[in-house]
Amino acid sequence: MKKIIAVITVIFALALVWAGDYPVFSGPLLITSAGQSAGAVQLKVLSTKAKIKFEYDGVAKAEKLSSFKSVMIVVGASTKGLGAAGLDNDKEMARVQTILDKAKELGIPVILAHIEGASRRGSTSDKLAELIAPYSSLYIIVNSGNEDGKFNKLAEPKKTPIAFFDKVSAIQPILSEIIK
Amino acid sequence: MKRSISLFLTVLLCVSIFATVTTSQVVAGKDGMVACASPYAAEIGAQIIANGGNAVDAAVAVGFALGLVEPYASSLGGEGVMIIRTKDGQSIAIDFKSTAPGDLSKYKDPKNPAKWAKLPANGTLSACIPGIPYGLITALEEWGTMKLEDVLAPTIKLAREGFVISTTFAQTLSDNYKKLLDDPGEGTDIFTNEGLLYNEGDIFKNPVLADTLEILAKGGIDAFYKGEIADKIADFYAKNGGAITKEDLAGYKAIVKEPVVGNYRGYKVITAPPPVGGVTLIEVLNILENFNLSKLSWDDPLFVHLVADSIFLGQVDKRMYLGDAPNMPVKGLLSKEYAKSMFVKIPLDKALPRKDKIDVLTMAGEPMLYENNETFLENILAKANQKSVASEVVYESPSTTHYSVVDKEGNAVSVTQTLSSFFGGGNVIPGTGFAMNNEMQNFSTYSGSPNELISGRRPLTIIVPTIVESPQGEVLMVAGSPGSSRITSTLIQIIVNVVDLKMPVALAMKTPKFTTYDTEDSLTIEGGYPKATIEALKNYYGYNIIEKGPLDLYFGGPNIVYRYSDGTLLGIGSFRREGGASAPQW
Repeated sequence: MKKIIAVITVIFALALVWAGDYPVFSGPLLITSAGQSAGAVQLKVLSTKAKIKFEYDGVAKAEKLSSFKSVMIVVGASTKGLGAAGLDNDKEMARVQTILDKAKELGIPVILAHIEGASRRGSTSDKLAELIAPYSSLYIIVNSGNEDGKFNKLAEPKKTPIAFFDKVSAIQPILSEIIK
Repeated sequence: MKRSISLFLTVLLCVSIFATVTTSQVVAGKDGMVACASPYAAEIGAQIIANGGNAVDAAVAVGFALGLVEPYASSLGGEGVMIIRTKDGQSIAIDFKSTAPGDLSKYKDPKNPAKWAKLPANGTLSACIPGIPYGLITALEEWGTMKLEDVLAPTIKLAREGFVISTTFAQTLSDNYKKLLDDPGEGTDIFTNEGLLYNEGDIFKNPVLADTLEILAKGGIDAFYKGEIADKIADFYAKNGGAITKEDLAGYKAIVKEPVVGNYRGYKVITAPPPVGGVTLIEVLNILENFNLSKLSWDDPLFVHLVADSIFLGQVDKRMYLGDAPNMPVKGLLSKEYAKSMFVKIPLDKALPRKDKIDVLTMAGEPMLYENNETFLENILAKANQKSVASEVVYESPSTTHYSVVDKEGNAVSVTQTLSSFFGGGNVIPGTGFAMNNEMQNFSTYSGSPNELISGRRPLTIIVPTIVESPQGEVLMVAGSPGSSRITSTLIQIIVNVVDLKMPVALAMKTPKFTTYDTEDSLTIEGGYPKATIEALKNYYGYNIIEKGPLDLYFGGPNIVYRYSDGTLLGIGSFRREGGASAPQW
């Protein structure tokens, strides 16, 4: 029993140290998609469970940003998702760029998230990630989408912190730690 | 890597569950064969045959199993058509298409109750009365040999123990995630992992569906249409603004029909009667019979052009003349003399005009002039000219599944089942574990259309479960495909590839496909065609070309059992949808 308690204590302590490595962002948070896959909706579900102050708008426009203090852009290109939203690759890249420009103008920090693994690492997803990365203060990444170290490379120039997770469900606790 | 692990786990699980059958994407055997969109379902069917069941027993087991392992493509809440060819050559079609509810007042335009509103593609008003339980149980009772509880048992067990989620399953969940989250029913509870997406390689269980199947096993058709399950369905729709009532469910019946039968260069084609696509399949083959396709190759732009325009004309006729109405000119549409009148419309050096240039319904033929065995010559001499009722465009979506079964006695079954869209209207009936269809969108709201929305009628769709006999009168191929508008075009190309181009069936399935449709202005072509072919189609014939990737699921996922003359059966699961084939060990 003592051993179990000791292990739990160590894990808990490590978790605190780990959580402390990441910047804290002010809410309310705007969650939007870059590529219209299901990733952004999953972060909406996680944020609801984490009870943080946020709004989800998968096709948010730049003007919306003025009501928020941080923005999370969830990368994942889906041909079907883009089609259903009346978008194509070029339109989506342009929409995301206007959000990034507006965030920079307003001084709103950007969080890049990629949580759908290798299945959302096609060329369009990579282009969107490359577009968003330089503007981002934190990456939230599920490991199966980074087997080639893509996000480590993107983070390198600005030494952007990356929160890595094995499973999507593991992201929930950190959300309430980093969004205040 | 993950895909390999997933496949390994799938095979391992299958092997551990059933030790007396062999399962893979391509399997040969002599004692029966099942091919479908899931190795799990294929294996369940093969095990039924290994246990002494016939092809109908196996098909019914597979039909229910697919509702578990491919719950987005078919379910107890869906519909379908089954073609049976018995060992003595008798052919039967069981139409278990869904039907429109009795009270259609909710579909009226609120501003103008004399008119229909746009028929919904999602939500509680999008559903028709489901037919799969009635159809499968009817088949089992009339042509099977086993008890319902015995054919349901493997699926109930698998639903409780779980199975490995495939790439297609995970991808489809992801594509329909928001739809499931928005469901006022139990879409989130059943098909998400505590609100999040399941991933490829995860284990999926559906104990709620297992409970429902146990109720069905004990109570049969009445349990679903009049008993506990009917109560749950009717209660859900009453509380959530739907139209389906318990009376609608109690009034539902599957219909046993004559299949439609054609002949393509000596090969008998037995396929599905209206209101689905068999008539169109035969009409197109009849048109193609007038061309000497065997002198061409699959990648010859002339071959693509001739087949594409024949398909296009068949689809125009389907929209104009077919549905669930009396007095449709089916005999005319199936007439080889009528096919000549369509054949002469196809120019050899350019594509027929599509919807961007013309009202395509003006391209429809006049099959009513061939209803009494009139010849092409008689009709051109008479210069017949008759105007027809226009029809509106009907949306059709890709969620469908097909399975093919042959047993060692020679009974053959070809079935296509669907929910219309993936996960249908996005409503999972609470306490049942299955999604309901969204077939309402497939009706026409145009008055006078043979596909007009009328209570109790069945919507026009494109499915074509088919059995092809060799010129010697033996089963050659049991075939069908999901894929919406691509179902007909893909199946036609497979038949032509086998019959005209003499391809082995696996190659016929794998060879790149193309499709064209009367509601589109394009020729959509799969990756793998030579650049020169595409350039010729675009720049010489004038097609608006849309290119897809190689082996793209867009072109459907045919699952075929092919029978060689020595009786060897080759089962091939879809190359485009991780399909599987399974057979009793040989």
